[in-house]
Amino acid sequence: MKQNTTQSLQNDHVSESNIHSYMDGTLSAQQTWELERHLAGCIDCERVVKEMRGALDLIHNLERNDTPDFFMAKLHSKLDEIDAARAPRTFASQIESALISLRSILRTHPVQAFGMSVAVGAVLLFSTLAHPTIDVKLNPASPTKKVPSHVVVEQLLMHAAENPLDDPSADQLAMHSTTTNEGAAIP
Amino acid sequence: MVAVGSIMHPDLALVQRAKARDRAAFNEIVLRYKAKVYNFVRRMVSDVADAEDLTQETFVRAYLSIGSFQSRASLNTWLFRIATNLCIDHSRKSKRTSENTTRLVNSYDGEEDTDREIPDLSFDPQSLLLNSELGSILESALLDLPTKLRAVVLLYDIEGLTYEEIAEVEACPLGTVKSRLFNGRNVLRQKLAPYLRT
Repeated sequence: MKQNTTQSLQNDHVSESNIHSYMDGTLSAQQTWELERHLAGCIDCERVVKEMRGALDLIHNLERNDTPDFFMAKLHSKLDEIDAARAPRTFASQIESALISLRSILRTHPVQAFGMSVAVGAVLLFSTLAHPTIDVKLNPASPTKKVPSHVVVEQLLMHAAENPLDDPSADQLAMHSTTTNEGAAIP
Repeated sequence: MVAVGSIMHPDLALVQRAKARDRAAFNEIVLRYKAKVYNFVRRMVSDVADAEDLTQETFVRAYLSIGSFQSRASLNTWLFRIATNLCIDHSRKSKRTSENTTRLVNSYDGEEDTDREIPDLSFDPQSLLLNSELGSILESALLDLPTKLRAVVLLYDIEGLTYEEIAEVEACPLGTVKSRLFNGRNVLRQKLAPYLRT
């Protein structure tokens, strides 16, 4: 640093880095004395130092503000969401969310869902033809009973038709069907 | 910085509790640093609403990654690092067009290069001074600084960080910090000079 100061003074003007160091008070006493002696006789350097001091005074006195209203409330709302997403989930809640996801897939991708239904139907049909009867055990105490496979499939389809996923569109369809039948009954 | 002998820095105690998912401790951290972070971000971006959003995002990211916070670092430095990165990303996304200055160099890439700007003399210094608007001229001049220079000037001259802390925030060498600070201050001095001489 001393070398720099000496060099800059030899070159007639104080270097910018030394002016910054002077402003920050990081020059040694000797360097400060040399620099100030130069400033006393150099109008250009004195002007630069004055301008720099004025600019820094303005910067140091810039207005400071606190955060806007409701900053903490908004932040805690976001943190609550993060905590909720991090919370451990029960088995029941996982099943529920899986069913909700399945339902949304069925709604958003009806064509794919129809294709999948056709595929499942084809598999069931093939199974029915391949296995005319299925061993069914109604309860643990009763003996195994041979039931025609088409009867089992029919019962499964009926069960599925009862809207186990609680799909509101299926409910609307059923309601529409009832309304239409009632309307037909009115003379 | 963090622990001196058996005396633990109060920030470190809060960080340890926050790492254990103690919301009250994290709340205390936010209350302690929100004004500092907000004032820094507000001068890094031109829009007040963006400044609030970025300050919120700073603390959300801090909350998410407090578990990875290294205790040897300063919490102050760590928060400013998150905020600086967010501000740089933000300014990349919304490149601001300078209205009151003419840029001689369009980008600041090199560590030794200076992005020099000259004041637009279409301003009327007398009327601005009469209206005591030097502060707003400075705010405008700060916003016209290249992002990297502005960050260093704000961190050093307003937030009072040391060169070493700024080097940690900016993830750059100490020499680069000094170079950016000197260049940034010089640009501000040149822009404010017409008003300071009066």
